[in-house]
Amino acid sequence: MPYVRRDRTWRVEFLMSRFREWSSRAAIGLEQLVAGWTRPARGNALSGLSLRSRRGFRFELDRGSRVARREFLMSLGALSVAWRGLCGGSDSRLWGLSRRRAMFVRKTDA
Amino acid sequence: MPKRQVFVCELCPKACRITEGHSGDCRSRIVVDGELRAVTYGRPCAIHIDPVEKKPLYHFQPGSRIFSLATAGCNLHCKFCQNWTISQLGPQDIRNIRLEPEEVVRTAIAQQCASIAYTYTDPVIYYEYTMDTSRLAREKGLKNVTVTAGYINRKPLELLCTVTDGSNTDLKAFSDAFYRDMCEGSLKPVLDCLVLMKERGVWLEVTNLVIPTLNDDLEMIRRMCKWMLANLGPDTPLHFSRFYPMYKIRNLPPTPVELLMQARQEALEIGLRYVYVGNVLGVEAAHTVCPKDQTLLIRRTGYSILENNLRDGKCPTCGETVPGVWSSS
Repeated sequence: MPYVRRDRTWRVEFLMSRFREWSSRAAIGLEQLVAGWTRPARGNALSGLSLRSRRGFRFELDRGSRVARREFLMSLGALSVAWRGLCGGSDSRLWGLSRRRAMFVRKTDA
Repeated sequence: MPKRQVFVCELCPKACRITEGHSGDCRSRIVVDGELRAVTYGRPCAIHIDPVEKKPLYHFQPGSRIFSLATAGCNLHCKFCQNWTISQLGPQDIRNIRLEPEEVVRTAIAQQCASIAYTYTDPVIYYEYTMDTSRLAREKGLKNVTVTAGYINRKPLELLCTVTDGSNTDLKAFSDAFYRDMCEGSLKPVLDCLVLMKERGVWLEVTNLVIPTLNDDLEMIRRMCKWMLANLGPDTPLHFSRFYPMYKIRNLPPTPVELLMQARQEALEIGLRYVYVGNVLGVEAAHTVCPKDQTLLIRRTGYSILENNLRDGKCPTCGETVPGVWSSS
């Protein structure tokens, strides 16, 4: 799981090498999440982005504004949920929801 | 190139065509791992214990407590939805809890509820959850109530009727254009649903939310009442409900009470015998009165019963039978 260390900068490291079984789908998902954080609208809170390196994912957050920090940490919470979903091999958005088969369904080809 | 599999949901008239990873229009039926899944099964987002009058059901175990639940999503998208904060979101966007059907029934009994309501959003979209919970509830002596827009196909409705004791079904307007423009639905399936429920012996009450300028045309209301009289009979209670600005219709004022009273008067003159005005506090039009000799049978204020003079479902003065579900047996 990600951890946050406070020194000169807020730093978050994901030690991805521990999770060699991670699918490319998960990596892409994470990449998209990070891309969301680095949008200019969020005040360029993140810097030092390095994706899919051998060490895994690493990025740093400049101290920046309080809003930027708060948004980053909120995103981190969302990421931890996504993490569990992705590691479970299913769509993270559906994590915790039922897999009950629906009734009254017909299958067809596109 | 392999053919992509498409799932056609035949639960409601929308007949959504859904591919892997996508949901139907209701947001609660999603194709996951090659199957269409009812992802809100056992995952309600709203649970309350309500008075049955809140549904509103005025001829169904008056004064009793009803265990009410809903899951996220809806197959209609009414611009005036009063519960839009849960009905117009998907289950991924909202906090759900785990509550399997067994637990629902156990809790309802522990809380001394006489029945379970599948309500707030629409039980059609959490059909499997409603079915399984209703079967269990029946076994334990509880009654089942659906509060629905009635936008459902015939086959699933037939099955649902086998476990449903009562229903308050919305008839949002007697106009297909209204259903199309304001709700993203259509009128005919709703009318068919009302007729079928009546045929199958489900206790039926109808609610019409009267919205100023959108569906308050008295001529249309008259046509609706005539249709009800001809197809559902004079004893089906009709509730004219007051609109309050909500969701995407915040530019209109609340329905004038005089207009609701006028609509009620029209309905009574056409021949409907039990017509109520709802969402208005302290009006006489919320009481049940014997249609034969005008004896006051049930006096209400808000969701509370102040007086119940019915004797075994009959008027104490003239003995007229008042249709409804009056006891829990």
